[in-house]
Amino acid sequence: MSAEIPVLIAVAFPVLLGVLCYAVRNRRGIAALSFLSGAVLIATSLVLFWILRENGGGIRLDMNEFAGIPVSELIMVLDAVLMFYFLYLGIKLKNIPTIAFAVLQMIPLFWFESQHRGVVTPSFYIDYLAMIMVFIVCIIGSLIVIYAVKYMEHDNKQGRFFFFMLLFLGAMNGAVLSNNLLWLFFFWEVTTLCCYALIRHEETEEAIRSATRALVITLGGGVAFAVAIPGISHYFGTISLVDVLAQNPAVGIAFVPVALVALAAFTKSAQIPFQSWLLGAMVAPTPVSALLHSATMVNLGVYVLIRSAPIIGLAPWLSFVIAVVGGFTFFVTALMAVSQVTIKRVLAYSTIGNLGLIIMCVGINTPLSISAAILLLFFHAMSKALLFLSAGVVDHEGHTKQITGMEGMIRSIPVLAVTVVAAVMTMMMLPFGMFLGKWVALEVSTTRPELLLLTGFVIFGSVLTSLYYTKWLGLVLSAPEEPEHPPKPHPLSKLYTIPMFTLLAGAIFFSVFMGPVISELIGPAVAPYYGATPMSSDNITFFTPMGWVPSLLIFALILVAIFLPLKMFKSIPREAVKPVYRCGEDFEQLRLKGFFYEREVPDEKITRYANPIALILLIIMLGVIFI
Amino acid sequence: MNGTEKSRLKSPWITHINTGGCNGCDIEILACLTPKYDIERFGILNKGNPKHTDVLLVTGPVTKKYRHVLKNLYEQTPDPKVVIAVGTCACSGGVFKDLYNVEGGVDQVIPVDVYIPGCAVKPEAIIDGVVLALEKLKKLQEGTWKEVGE
Amino acid sequence: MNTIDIVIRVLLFVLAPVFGCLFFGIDRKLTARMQNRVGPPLLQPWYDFRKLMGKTEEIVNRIHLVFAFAYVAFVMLALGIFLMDGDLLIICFALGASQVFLALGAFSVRSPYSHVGAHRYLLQMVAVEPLLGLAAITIKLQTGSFLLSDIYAQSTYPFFGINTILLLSLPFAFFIVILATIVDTQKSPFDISTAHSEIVSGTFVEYSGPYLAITKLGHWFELFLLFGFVSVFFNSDVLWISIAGKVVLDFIVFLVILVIDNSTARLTIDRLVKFSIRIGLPLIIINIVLIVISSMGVIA
Repeated sequence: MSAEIPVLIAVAFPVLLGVLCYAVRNRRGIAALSFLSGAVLIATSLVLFWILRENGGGIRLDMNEFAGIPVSELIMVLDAVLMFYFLYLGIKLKNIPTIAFAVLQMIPLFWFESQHRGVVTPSFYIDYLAMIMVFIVCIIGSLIVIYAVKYMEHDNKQGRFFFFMLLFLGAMNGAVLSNNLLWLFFFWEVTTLCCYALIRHEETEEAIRSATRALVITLGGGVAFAVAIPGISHYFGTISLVDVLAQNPAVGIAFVPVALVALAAFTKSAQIPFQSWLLGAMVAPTPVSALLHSATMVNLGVYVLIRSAPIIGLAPWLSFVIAVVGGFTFFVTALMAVSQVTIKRVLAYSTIGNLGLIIMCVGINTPLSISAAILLLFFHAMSKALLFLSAGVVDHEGHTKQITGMEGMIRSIPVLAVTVVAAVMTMMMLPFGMFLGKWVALEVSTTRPELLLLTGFVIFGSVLTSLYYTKWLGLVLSAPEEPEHPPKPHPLSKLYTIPMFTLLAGAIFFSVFMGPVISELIGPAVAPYYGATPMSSDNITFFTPMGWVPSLLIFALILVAIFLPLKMFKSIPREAVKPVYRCGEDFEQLRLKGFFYEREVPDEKITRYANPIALILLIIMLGVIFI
Repeated sequence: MNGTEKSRLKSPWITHINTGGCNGCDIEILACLTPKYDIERFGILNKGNPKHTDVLLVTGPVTKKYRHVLKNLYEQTPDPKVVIAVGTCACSGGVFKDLYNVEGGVDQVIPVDVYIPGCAVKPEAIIDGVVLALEKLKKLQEGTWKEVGE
Repeated sequence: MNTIDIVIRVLLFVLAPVFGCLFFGIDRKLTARMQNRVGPPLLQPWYDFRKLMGKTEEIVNRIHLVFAFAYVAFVMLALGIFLMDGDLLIICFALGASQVFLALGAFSVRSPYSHVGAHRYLLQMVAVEPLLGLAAITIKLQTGSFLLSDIYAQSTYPFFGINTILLLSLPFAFFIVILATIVDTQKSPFDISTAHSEIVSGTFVEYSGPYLAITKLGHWFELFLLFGFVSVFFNSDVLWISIAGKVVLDFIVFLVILVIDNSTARLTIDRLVKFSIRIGLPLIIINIVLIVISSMGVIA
């Protein structure tokens, strides 16, 4: 079966439904359209996966004409419209950097498009790495859109909101499936537009400011990308990704465009020094944070880097500096997350850090580390989306945006508290996918002496991650003493619980059944460029050449050590419950807020030091080709 | 006498509670922990937390403000427990007996098992009293304890 | 691994709490003798355990108890992986996971002492865990593998051209492991999260009776595991020399910890963090640099 129809549906169908949402504007219509989009996208991704397996590997798909319109020309026109729209936005916002970046993007792009003739084949290239991203966008994205239907139910601009959400899903699919660099660039810029529009949704002064900052920084990345495309065409002779990756050029000026693409990826994934836009973007509604800023859009930058990994690997110094940028980001963001009190800021720092870890793995560039990067990508998307969705429910049902407001939530909204605890456990605890990825990254970084700097970053970052997550969970679990009549638990809407439980079940299920994940998804994704993946799992033990983890044993232990006591303790008599030790006094209920160490690890001060260091690293990255 | 009961006699952990006394008996209790009297050789550890202990060493006549605290601490101590009133003030109120702000002895608030009079109590007497409390515990476990008047 | 090996390892696992109990008993006896006292009998920790098991149950809430079990379960897991000759880093992380569970257990009751103890416990974890992980990584750099099965396969490793036992080529990693043992068994000067005179019992304040006994069991397993980690630094090709050497090394470390415990006062938690960053981290970095230089073939 040809992959043409699924690809077309994956890219164009959400856009179509988005336009309909904007036109329909009533709540029920939008809900129906969103559910339809979700169902179709999920089915399409599964069909595409099946076709991919039937084909046994990468599928090259040409789509030069669509309903009689030449597609390349269509995209060129749409791209030009988009560039001018950015210019218009810059003028409307009276923002000089935006105007400058919009113009700076147009110049190389239009010059190149006028020079470049000929059709790029194939138009789309579908392999297992793209498939993983398509799964993330279609399945996790659709779940988030379903959640957003309930979350935004009282909003009065839902038409516009869902238009941009669905447009974004289509653009992401287009970006990861594209083989033509110009098409990739176009979809990339569409996601920038959606990001701007969605952050701005509330139209408050702060939202407009954050949206502008996001626009400036990601447009800056767009400039780097736009300058890189003619460079790649000149030095590699082609703008087809598949053909670029097959080449083996000598290290030299040919790699400057590659470094520029890496720079663009860093802006998209909010690495240091570009992290401020992601932190500011947390003012957006939570579904936006979940979709764009944790699970999908920021993954686009990382995806481009993983995709370019074979080429990056040919330039050892370039890959080393990329790895240092990633590792440094992981460490510094873990340090800064300790002092945050707002839930979404903690999650934002955690996202940036984990993306840095993935980038570090790409920089290390061995088969094992690339496998670890894809493993981390896969599991991080699930767990982080779940955490952001939970933060949204905490905001709407628990009426708090701060960690300190979640104190004792295990009694007031038990379902939500247990979900948060379980989600954080999948992020940091022993047998789950995220931990295994971190562990593999740590072990790989000890293989060469120059990578030991990264070892330090990862190990300190991991322990600091445990610190801030445990502090947060501690406050959630800090149950007030049992009142005489426990309060009736707050019922949560199915539109909240179904996406959240699906994501949680997915994170746990895929961690337990790691074997198929590696053999069916990660292995085939790594194989074309790096050979067989060195990691493997028979669902009982997780093997790498450097060590093994008895994962089934640990899962069994968690079941026995946590669920069995819970069952046993159902029968403790009421008389055995005693108050906490308060030196014998009879206090009212205590409130305990915990320590956030603002004096010891102040995030403004750390940012002030970290940004220049990262800037210097980036300058080195652009110049290091010439060594 | 099975293992658990034997262990109870070999490992009595104490909490020392001062209900408003002059600190004379408290100093003598702390002296017991020093190398000269060394009650740790009986397995006695001074824990500050009643949830961890078996023996409550209570000094001072119970002041009215301390009444609820003593009651709470007694209730928070898990069974089996022994209460020892150390010093004449704890036994009967001592020189403070009919004062306006004093209950007049620990047994006005919680049941006491052993009384150790003295002002201040000698460390040897405290050790004697703890040994007596352990004997009472042993006899209670065996079922051979007789109350006065039976 | 043949059947005798498996039997011995299972036996070691089962006897681990017994060893832990005896270590703590000898510890109290020797401490008493150092302080010119008589001290409790050697089996005192066992009597304490039995007595605690026999107390009436008193709980604050159920979640609290579940985390006590989780803490002990993960310490047992770490010990199990150690006895299966597994990956050193996983052992460190399993220990870290057990510490996270204990901290969560302490957080899950609304007690100020418990919360302060848990925060201090987490900071202590931040101070010690990375260094312990770096010590494991230093061992890997010297021996070429994270797996204990590979580390035991050779008894000496080249260090600047000379074949030495791990203890002599990794002195600072050894120091870090001793530091970790002191901190994890809550001995002076770093018994901060269960500082009796400040926060009553810190993380353990709300546990009583049988559940306190379970946490004590966890301590015994943890002590045995940490001494096992110490014993990795000495290997020999001859089996009885290997066992004897490990026991002697453990005993010497035990005495060193005891002497440090009895001659120092408790420090504050920020002193511990500063100590690990200003002294622990540079030392382990120096050790790593030495190993890297020696493996690059620079002749001493």
